[in-house]
Amino acid sequence: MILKSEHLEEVSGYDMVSPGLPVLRRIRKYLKPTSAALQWIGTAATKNVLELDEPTLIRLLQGEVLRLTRPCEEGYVFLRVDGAAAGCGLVIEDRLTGQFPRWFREMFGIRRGKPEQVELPE
Amino acid sequence: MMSEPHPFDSYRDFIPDFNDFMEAFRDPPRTVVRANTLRSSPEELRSRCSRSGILLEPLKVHPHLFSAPGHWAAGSSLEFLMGLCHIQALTSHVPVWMLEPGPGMKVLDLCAAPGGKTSQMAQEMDNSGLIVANEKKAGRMPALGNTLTRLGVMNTITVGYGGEDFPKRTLFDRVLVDAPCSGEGKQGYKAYHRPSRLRKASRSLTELQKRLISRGYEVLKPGGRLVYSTCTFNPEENEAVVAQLLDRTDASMETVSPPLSHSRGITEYQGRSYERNVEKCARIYPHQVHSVGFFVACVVRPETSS
Repeated sequence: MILKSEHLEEVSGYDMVSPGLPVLRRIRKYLKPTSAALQWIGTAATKNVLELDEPTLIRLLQGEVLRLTRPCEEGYVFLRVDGAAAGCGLVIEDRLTGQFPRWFREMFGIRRGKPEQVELPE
Repeated sequence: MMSEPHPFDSYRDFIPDFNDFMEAFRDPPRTVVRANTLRSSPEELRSRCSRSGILLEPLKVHPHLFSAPGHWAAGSSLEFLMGLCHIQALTSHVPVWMLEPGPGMKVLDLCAAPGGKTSQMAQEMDNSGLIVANEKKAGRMPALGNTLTRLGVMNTITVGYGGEDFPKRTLFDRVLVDAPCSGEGKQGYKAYHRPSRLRKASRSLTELQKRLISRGYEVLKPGGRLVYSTCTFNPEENEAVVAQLLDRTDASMETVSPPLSHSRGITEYQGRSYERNVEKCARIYPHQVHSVGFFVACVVRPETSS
C-alpha cells in the first residue's frame, strides 16, 4: 500500500521491488494481514483487539502459545501494548499465537521444543 | 622494530587535533535513537522508555533525537520492534537535514539500504510525496524493506537498479547520494586495536562514487538539490568526487553548515588540488561530536540548467 501521490504515474515504468507497505500476504489459500499493516492502523482499531502487557508480548515473540481466559472471536487480531500497536496475532479456539516476522522473533530468541502454554492476563 | 604507519596518518595535515581524533576511536560512538513521528511522538517514546527504566536524553540538535544509555539493547527493544524509534548515528542524520526534503516532493535515494536515511526523509515529508529508494545489492534489500515496513513508511517504492545506471526518464526535486565508501568514519572504531583491518579505497570504488554522483545530478530537476555523503575521511572519496562533478557540469555548491561541530572541505591532498568551492563541504570528525565521521556536500542545479 502506498499513499496517493501525483508523482506515482511518473515512476510507473520502473521495475519495482516493493511498492510501499505490504498489507496482506498469501498463506496457502488464505490472506494474512502483515504486522506492519496492523501496526499502522492498530491504534485506531476498535474490534478484534487484544491488549497485552510487555512480558506477555515477549512470550508471544518467543513463540509461546497463550491460552485465552476470556472469549475472543477466532481469526487474526490486533495486538496492543499500553495502547501502542504491536502487530498481528492469530486466535484459534482458545489459543493465541503471535504472527510476527521471523526477524522479530529471532531478536527475542525463539524457544525450542513444544511451546509452553500460559494464561493470558485479565 | 619500526611500527607500520597508521592508515589515517596521511590525514594528519588536515584533521584538527589529530591525536584527539585518533583517541576518539577508543570508545564506541554514543547510541542515538530517532523518534519515529510517523508512528508516535518524541514525548511518547521518551515516556514509554522511562516506564521501562530507560532514560532517553533529548539532544538539542533536533527535537526527534535522543541519546540512549549505552547498556540499552535498543535494537531488540519493543519500542524498536513496534516502529516507535530507529537507531541511527547522530552524524548520519546530517545528509537529510542538508537535503531538506519537504512534503509533496519527489525524492530519489540512490543508495538506500539499510533505509535509515530513507525513513528519516519520509518523516520530514510527513509520508507524503514520493521517495524512490534504490538499492543495487539484492542482499541488502531485505534490510531496506524491514526498516521501511517497521517504521510505517508509506510514500516509498523500492527499486533495484545499479545507481550509476539509474533510469533517466524522470527528474527529481531532491537526490541523495549516500555513496558506498571505505567506511573509515565507522570502521575506525572497530579497527582501533588492529588498524590493518581498515579497508582502503580502491580506484574502482572512487570511480563508482564519481559515476553515482554524476547520475544523481543527471536526474536532478533544474532548481533541485543533491546531497553527496560518505562516512569516510579520504579526500579521494569526498572532495575529489565533488570536484569532478563541479568540473564537468553546471552544478553549484551550497555551503553545508550542520548544527554540529564540523570542519570545512579541503582543497589539497597529497599534491593534488581540488576546485576551491569544495571548501563549502562539511567534514565531521568523531572527536568533535562523539559520533561516526561523515562528509557531506550539497549542490544545486541552476534553474536555467538544460
